[in-house]
Amino acid sequence: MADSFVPDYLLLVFFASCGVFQLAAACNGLQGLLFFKGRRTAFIFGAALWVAAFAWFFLSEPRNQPDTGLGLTGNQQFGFFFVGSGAGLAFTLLLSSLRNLNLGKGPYPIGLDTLRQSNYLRALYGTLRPWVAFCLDRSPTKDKPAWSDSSQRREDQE
Amino acid sequence: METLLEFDGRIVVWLNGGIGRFAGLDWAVYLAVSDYLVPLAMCFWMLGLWFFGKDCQERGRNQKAVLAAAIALGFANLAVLLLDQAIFRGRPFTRFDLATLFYEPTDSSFPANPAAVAFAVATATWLGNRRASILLVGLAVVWCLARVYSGLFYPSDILAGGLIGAGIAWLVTLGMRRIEPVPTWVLNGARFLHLA
Repeated sequence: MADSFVPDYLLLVFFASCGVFQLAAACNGLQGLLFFKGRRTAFIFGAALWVAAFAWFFLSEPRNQPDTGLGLTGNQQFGFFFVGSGAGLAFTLLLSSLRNLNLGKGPYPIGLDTLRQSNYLRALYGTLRPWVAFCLDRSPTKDKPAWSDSSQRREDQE
Repeated sequence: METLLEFDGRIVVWLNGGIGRFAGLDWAVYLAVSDYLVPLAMCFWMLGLWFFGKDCQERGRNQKAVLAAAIALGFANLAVLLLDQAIFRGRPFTRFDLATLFYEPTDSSFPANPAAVAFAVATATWLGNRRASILLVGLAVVWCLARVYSGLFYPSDILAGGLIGAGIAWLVTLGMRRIEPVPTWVLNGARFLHLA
């Protein structure tokens, strides 16, 4: 048994957040975030990962322990949730980009919607490339790139 | 006041009498009363809500509700921490002979921190997306009931905590509307990185 629940808690949050990202991506048709080609498979995998992470955490040992012992304080939970889910997000973005390596054609709309047609790293590269070129003064037009596409700007104004 | 507090205690004793009668219910309460199950379920629901929405506008509203809920959670926690320094009320299990399904905390019972945190998150979400908040309100109610059932809080602690949490969530949501377009800038920054 470990000296505290921190490692277990981090593992729980990491795996459960990966499951939540798969569930959310499958429900919203964000193909670029999926680990699997089929949305139904990704949905089942996400749900199973979430349930398995919780079942492991709660059934592996008694978790009702005071924060003066093995337990975590509220602030620790808040902090470690950000660490664990951030790691889960980074892992999901990386693995889904590798799994969907060939997915993606420009132009890349701003926001999550771009992940319907592209993998994350390709979309990020497509968005950042004009800015990097502009900052390095290598932009062919020397024009400042737009922050968002025109449809996005219209939505924001509304 | 004394009668009210006495009544408060009687409710806890009456509810707590159910422990040991139904093994299945005890096991469910043992899980529900935990420091981890309900808060994590709520956080994951918020994490999922970040991605949901038919279009960019609906998703934007959900994301603002998630931001408000996260800020409200922090302020609710802080408010209870500050009140705990000023007010101390002993836990029900120190006054009555109760069975518990949880460890015995030593901090003040009033106001209930779980109620403040859970209702802060549920209310902030309710103000942004009522349908999405139904599950959160349900989880908050289950968590608070489990805490009273286990003899950890009086009903008035839960009521006060819930009101503090809901009030803070309302203020945070109002404040976020007042400081517009700052929340929109934050979301636009995340959209630029394809994260919102």
